[in-house]
Amino acid sequence: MCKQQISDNELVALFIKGDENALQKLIIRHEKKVYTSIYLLVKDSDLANDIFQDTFIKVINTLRNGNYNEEGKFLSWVLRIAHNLTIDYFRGQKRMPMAYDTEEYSIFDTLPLMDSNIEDRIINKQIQSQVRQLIEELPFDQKEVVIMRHYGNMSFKEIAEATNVSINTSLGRMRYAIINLRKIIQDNRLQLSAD
Amino acid sequence: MNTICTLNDLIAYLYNDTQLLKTVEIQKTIDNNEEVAELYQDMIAISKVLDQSLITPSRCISESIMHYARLTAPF
Repeated sequence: MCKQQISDNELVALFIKGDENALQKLIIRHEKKVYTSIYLLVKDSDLANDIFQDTFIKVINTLRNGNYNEEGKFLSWVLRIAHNLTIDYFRGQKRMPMAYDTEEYSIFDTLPLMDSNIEDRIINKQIQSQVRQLIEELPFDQKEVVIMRHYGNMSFKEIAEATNVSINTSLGRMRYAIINLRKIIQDNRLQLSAD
Repeated sequence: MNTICTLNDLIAYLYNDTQLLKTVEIQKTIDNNEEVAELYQDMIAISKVLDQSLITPSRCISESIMHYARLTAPF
């Protein structure tokens, strides 16, 4: 028999009615995407944990105050909160990460080149860690779009609204991010497999 | 690249963010243009790599969120 997964909005409704297990399920379901999104922006695990905690405390309070719009996607909403808290943090520090939104900007120089003698087979963990590093090194505005689109499942229209740019700009940022990632992966001879 | 399928189109297509007519156009281009097909395969692969790069927050942070939820429960 096929067991259907309870939807986010059903879990939200249960939590609002007082079922804390529903909140736990929502956290378990989305914690990796939310945490990774924060971590990739702040590049510090302690700080990422703090912002992750603040994000869900805000989620809890907003849900209980009845201010959540059920029509929206839960994960996108949570990621927008996380994103705003991250931006607030940078503003508080009076240092926004530099945003190089040009084709000329190259992140390749900042990455360690792999030794050509290294074994052909790279274990998954190494690849994952390297890819994380590649994303971390992307210009802030490109990274922001990758996170919102890929992890937050937000449409380019929603991303454009959240970041105050046009849809074409948000698509363009994603395009540069993918071009950068593809080139880095090819240059570093990381094995890409679509299977 | 084919003029009817820009890289922006391909990205929107990858994320199911295209209108029906455009979707058909892009799919045709992928089917008929080797270069675009290869690029699209790489984009799928990059997308999978992004999925594999997820990390988990500290367990005690999730516990402390649940603790807060219980402590502040209105019921």
